[in-house]
Amino acid sequence: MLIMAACIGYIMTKDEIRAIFIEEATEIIEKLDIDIINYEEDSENKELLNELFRGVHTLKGSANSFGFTRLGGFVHLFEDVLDHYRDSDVAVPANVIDIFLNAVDVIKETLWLEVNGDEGVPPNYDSTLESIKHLLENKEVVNEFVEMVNLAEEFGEIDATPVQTESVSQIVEEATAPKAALEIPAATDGKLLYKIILKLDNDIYHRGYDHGHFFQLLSEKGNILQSRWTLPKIAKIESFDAEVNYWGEVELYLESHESIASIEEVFLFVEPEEFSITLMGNEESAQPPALVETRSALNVQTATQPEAAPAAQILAIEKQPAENERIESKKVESKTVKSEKAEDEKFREAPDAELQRRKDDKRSFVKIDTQKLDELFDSVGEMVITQNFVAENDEIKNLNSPKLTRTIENLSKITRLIQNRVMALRMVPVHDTFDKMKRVARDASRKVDKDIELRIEGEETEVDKTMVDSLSDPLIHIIRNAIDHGIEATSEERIAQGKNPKGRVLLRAYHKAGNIAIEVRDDGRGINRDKVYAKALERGIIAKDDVLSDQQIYGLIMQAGFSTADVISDISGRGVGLDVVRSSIEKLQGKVEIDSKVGEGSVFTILLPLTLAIIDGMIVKSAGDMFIIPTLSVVESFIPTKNIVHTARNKGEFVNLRGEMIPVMRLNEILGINTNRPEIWESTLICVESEDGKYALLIDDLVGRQQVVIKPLGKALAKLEGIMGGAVMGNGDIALILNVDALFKIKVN
Amino acid sequence: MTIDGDVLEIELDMDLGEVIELKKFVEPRLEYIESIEIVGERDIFASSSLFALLFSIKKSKPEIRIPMIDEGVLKLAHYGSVHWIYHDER
Repeated sequence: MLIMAACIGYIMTKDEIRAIFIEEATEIIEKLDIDIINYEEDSENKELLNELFRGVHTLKGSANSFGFTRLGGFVHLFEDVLDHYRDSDVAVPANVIDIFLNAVDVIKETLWLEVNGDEGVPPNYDSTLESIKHLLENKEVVNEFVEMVNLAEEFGEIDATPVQTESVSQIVEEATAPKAALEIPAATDGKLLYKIILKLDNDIYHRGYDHGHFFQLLSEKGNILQSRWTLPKIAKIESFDAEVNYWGEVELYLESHESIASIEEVFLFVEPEEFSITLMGNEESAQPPALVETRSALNVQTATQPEAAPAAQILAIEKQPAENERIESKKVESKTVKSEKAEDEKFREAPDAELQRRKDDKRSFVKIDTQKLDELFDSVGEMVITQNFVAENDEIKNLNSPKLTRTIENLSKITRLIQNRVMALRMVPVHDTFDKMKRVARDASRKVDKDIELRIEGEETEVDKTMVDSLSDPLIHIIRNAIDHGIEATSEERIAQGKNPKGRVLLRAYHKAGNIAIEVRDDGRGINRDKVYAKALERGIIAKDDVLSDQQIYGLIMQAGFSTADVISDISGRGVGLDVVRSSIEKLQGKVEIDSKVGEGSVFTILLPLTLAIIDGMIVKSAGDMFIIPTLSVVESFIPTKNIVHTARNKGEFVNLRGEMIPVMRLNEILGINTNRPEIWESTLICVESEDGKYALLIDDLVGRQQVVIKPLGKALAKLEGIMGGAVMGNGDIALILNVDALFKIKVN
Repeated sequence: MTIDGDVLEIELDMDLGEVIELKKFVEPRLEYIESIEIVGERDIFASSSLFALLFSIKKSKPEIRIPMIDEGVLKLAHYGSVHWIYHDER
């Protein structure tokens, strides 16, 4: 439906429409998971179930319009189950929530099979489909029973005997009888007879369509002989809205010489589920085959409805059953009302709400290609550089014009304002990423059979879009790790330690010193420092005489292949998860800090820069060149006194910084610029924190601190070791941005 | 659309905009309208919203006479016979 709307404005290529579909479908599917988990937490909230239903309904429409019948067929059944629960007063049981979540997994996999044009279905497709069908079958029995009990009560038959299945089918047949009672017209002069069913959504008038419009187009293809209009429910005049389509199914018979394909052209812009064309006597259908099969399986009424019967009045509105038939007729009518109402509302309420949501979205948001955003950001970056260039230009400065200086200052302010605003365009809340973790926590806790509560805070904290996309995997690893290893194995173990039997994991985002901090805190058993140290020693990751802080020791658990887990589960414990976390976060120019207390729990904190496009850096000079050290890596800068400088044989130079021996590395030597060796106590040292620990970088001069726009280096310089990018300074000079982890490795190697 | 005493006469070619206006017209006058009749050409209809409005009126005032509904069928020259299947609770 969304895609059709996109088509109305201008002609899009098939690939463009397909790309939009994939993007939208992916978004919807991601949200399904979240909606299910949210509903599980708040099962009284029917709006969550409606939201879930709307997502599935939209997905079904889009999938069928692309001929993705495996996806469309599956989603169709899933939609029916959801429709049942949102229409029922019964809360969705936990085992059904599991089926829902499995269904979402199948939908995800099926979508990609369809998109990639692969054959077959995902492994759990059939079993999940069976579970869904089973739910639907049970639903019908339960509904019929409830229906009959209600009717019996209504007519004083309180002794509600359980209803036999024969009476159910009898009711179905009788409910459709009035419609079937009308004789089907016959085609004349050798024309073909088509049965066309219109089941238009309630927003058709808003979409510019009307039954009248289709009748007119069809009458141009042949003769309309008869039509049967079903009206499931109508509002009284005070609440009647002329712009809402109240009509349910409209069945019409058309005689024509035209082919089925020609008839189908009338419905070019209508969703596949909104119409069907059947060539009578041939049963050729213009509907996607899978959909037809699905509908047949689902809706016995439609499949078994007798097509011809003696002519009779079909108007049910004035029908007064004889006294002795009254109860039975009431049952029939009530059943019809119920089933028609359910079916009608299914196609009615969701699009209505969706329409409103779409309108709201249009008003509030504009989708922009991130590439265009990057281009805009680049241009603004150039503008900032040029503005700095003007501000620093000696010739302009020498003019000594207060007016000109004021204008340049104003220009500078406006430029910064624009830069900040453009920056804000890239920022998105971590909300969606955090929401996804609910499913991760649920699945992981089920797998290890632990009762765990995931609490989320600060989900409105905004992070650069590029980083949000890359945050999911590291967070999944950390949360799984917390659940698998952090939280105690049993509730009894927790109770014995005076803790709540339910394990708690807190996922929290906040700003910290100009960076974004994302914290995963558990109240589990904590990390055993000594065990980690011993393991690292045993594996040769550290040497016996290495002096390590607690944080450095905890950091060892993120080394490749390091695992202290006694039992390796299928969730974590292979020593690869946390290694992936570290490298993923480093790619984002961030770092992971670990803190822990035995018996109280652990905290994994991911520290990220606000954006990947701008870096807050310390500008330093070495051998006459300018370099930038990311402030995130800088611990402190200082000029050492001679008495704290030490040289160890074969181990290099050190400074004793408040009792901690820190290796000194000369930047000019590491980068091979020159071999000058000024005295350490006459130079400036910048203490930086790398993944391998702290070290002091010897430079000539500290120029200051500045935010700079990161410029990628060209292909020729891209592999320059120890450098992560470049920046154009105010005077037009280029400064290289240092990668402190890589510098350390160069030195060590 | 004309009103002749207590009989409202409407035409089938009313478009959606006209149906909206018709609803606004009828609602405050429903008390004294006794019958709604179709006049003019009976070949096509313009908007299905008109039919829905007539059913809404019938539901609001069951005693009102609307032949198109009461007779259960509407015969149109271009669109054949139109039949209604109405399931709403009354």
